[in-house]
Amino acid sequence: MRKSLFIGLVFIIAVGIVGCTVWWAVVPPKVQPPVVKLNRVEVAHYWPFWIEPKKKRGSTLDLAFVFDITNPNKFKVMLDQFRFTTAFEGFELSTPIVYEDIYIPAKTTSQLRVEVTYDAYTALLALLVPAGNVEMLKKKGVKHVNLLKSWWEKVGDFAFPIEVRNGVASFTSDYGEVISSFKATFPFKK
Amino acid sequence: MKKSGWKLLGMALILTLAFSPAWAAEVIKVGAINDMTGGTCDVGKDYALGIAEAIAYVNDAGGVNGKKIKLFQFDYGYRIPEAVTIYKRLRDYDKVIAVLGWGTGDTEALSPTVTKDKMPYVSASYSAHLTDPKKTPYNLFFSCDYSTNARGCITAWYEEIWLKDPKYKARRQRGDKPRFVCFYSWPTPYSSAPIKAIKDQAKILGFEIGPDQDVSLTALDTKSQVLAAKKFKPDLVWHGNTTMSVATALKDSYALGLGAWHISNNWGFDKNLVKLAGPAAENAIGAVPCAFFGEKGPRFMPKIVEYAKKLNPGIPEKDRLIRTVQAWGDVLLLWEAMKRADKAGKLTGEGIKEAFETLRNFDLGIGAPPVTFTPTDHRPTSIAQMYIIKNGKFKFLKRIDFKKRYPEKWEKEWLGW
Repeated sequence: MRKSLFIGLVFIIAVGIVGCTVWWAVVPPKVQPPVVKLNRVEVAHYWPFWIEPKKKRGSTLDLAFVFDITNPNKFKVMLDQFRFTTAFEGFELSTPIVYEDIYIPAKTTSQLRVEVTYDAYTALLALLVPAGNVEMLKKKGVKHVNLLKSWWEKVGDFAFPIEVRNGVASFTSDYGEVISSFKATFPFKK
Repeated sequence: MKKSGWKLLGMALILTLAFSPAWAAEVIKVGAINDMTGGTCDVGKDYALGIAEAIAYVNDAGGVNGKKIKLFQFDYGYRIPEAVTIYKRLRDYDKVIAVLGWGTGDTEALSPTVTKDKMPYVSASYSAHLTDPKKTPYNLFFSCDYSTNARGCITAWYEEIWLKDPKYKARRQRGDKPRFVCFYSWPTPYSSAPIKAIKDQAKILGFEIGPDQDVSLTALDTKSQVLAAKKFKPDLVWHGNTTMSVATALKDSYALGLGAWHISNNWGFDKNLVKLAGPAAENAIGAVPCAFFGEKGPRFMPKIVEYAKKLNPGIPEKDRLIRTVQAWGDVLLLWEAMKRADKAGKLTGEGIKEAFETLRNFDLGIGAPPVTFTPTDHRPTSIAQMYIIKNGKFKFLKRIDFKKRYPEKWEKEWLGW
């Protein structure tokens, strides 16, 4: 009697496990892309402006970009890669890429802080080299060094638009991979 | 009876493992060191996007015999010391088995280290200094090298313009030599890499060589260099920098009436040149390593365009460059070598290098000449392709196979510079 009860129990458990597993494998839930939203930009570290182009150096400016990442799924997802381009007043300056693995539990919002260091000399190169930036500089009729200086001086008040462009976040989960795209301009319009 | 119960449980466990969604496939780690913000970001950013897109395609196409590639990509802002620190991170922390690099400066600086580490380093630097496996066995790339590009450009101009244009008839009959100068950034390894080769080719063809002009990669004004070159009255100018700087030099040459033809290395020749230099870019000739973005014909082009749209939907198709295709070239090359190494049961740095050396006339499917590597020669191809800008469009001009044309020099003299 005990033996048959044991076998019956094992059979039920086995069928249950196999059934559920095969079901999830054959009809996996569709992975919804998590929603990535810029929460705010902060000045993380600040040094007054200076630049010595001949010595290829200048002061640095550290900004922190804080993002909210909301997982709409009923299961956890893992942030695998996070990439975006930053632009000051429309001038693209850097493309940070983050690889830290961050799990976001089901139906929750996690925050990710990405610190980006700008140095005046590299920012100068970014203004002078890419075709798009050079054209905009001409249209604005501003001298590149003056523009950099104004950014360093006004960033504390966020007196110019700081954009997050071409943002792409890749997520993995037990049920597949998914990509979310995002963009934002800070300060936000009131 | 008890025995059959265990059997059932065992089967259940096997099936569970077999169907488990969390089943983790083996992952191959590859690093990428790119310039998205520095002195070559005019071409580097598009290349970096292409690297990530090509890797995504490779994974969707089955990875390396079923093993997925995990890419670790970093921007080093064209600062060589930063490239070295990123390389160390990739090697020691991420433990990558190959690196997709970028510039000539950092690739050449890292070359002794990657050789010691037996790390395949497939870069966007096509410097001929990286093609002699006795010196740089782990440096590889898919394209015609800079020196062959340079030899190709000057030879194409000589044969198609100097020898054919009626404008030069009287001078040809007088026995005049065509006059030639080089514009490039002297301290930049990329720019200076093919100078010895192009001057050698100029001598072979009988040019008179004028004084070099130092033009920075970030030049916004090259009038002093153009005026200095004007004193020599050149017929032809070689531009060894990237697009932005080449555009500045073309515009100043146009404005100051230099009256010379212009030839350019591949990183200075793309649709941004037409956009930035306008009419000054007309008739410029350049080396082109593969098909332009979106060009019809090459097998992989539909995928290249599809993955650009899919992974970077925020960047309009019209803004994508040939640099994306070049990135695919290096990724597809590495992919093939890794598949071969894996098949041979030797997916290690050494195994990947050996796999590269089994490639013979391998067509990458991106409109590039087929590649061949041997244990004694890492020049991917001996064929240079040149295009000319006509009415703002790129037109095919000439293809020159230097191995066929100069077999002895190609075999015995030109390897490694």
